[in-house]
Amino acid sequence: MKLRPNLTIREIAGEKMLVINGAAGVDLTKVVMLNSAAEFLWNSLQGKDFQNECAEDLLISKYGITKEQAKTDAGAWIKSMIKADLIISPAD
Amino acid sequence: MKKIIPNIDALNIIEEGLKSGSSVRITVRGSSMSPLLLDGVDVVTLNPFIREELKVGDVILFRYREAFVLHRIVDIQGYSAHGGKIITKGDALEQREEIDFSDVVAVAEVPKIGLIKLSLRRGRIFINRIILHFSRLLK
Repeated sequence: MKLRPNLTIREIAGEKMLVINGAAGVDLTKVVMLNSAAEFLWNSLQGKDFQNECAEDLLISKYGITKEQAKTDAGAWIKSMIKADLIISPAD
Repeated sequence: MKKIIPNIDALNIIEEGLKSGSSVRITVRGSSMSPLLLDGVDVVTLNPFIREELKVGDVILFRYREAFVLHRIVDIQGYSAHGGKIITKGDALEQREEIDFSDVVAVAEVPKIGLIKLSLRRGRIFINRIILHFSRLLK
């Protein structure tokens, strides 16, 4: 899976947000808020083809958490990215 | 979780996008342009504009008293290469604003709404006003 291109992280009112900036222009109707871990994963995996394990390993090396915790957190992050239509699967 | 971007931050993003030649989509806030544009429901596309092409009837985004507003042009006065005033008004309001051409940020492309949907929206607004009036009387 891959993260959608054409998104920029902007700091707005003290929070980090993903803003769509594609061929159709800037879309402020679909802004996604990121906490620090979500932002870290977004920046680390941008432009790369990855699986769940990649996200888990990144969280373990960055935050020193257990494998179980990383699996839960990475899974939740991927789920939220899919829900916001920010992840492209190989079939897309 | 829905979050409303503060006016000034949204304006910066909008102006940056427009300067680079992009259009910008935003969700409408407020009810001054109802029934055509409903708060939190309708989305408009903001486009860069050419000063000379602004005309009565256009819906524009402009700076007004430290905020930005989306209203319709109802008159253009004293237009010249270096001056002139634009008079704007929200479709649902009586009061008008007088602005300079330099206050205009973008021209809005509004969603096309059929007569039936528009009439239904007007009807809903009218009924809500009646309910509000009676609920105030009962207090």
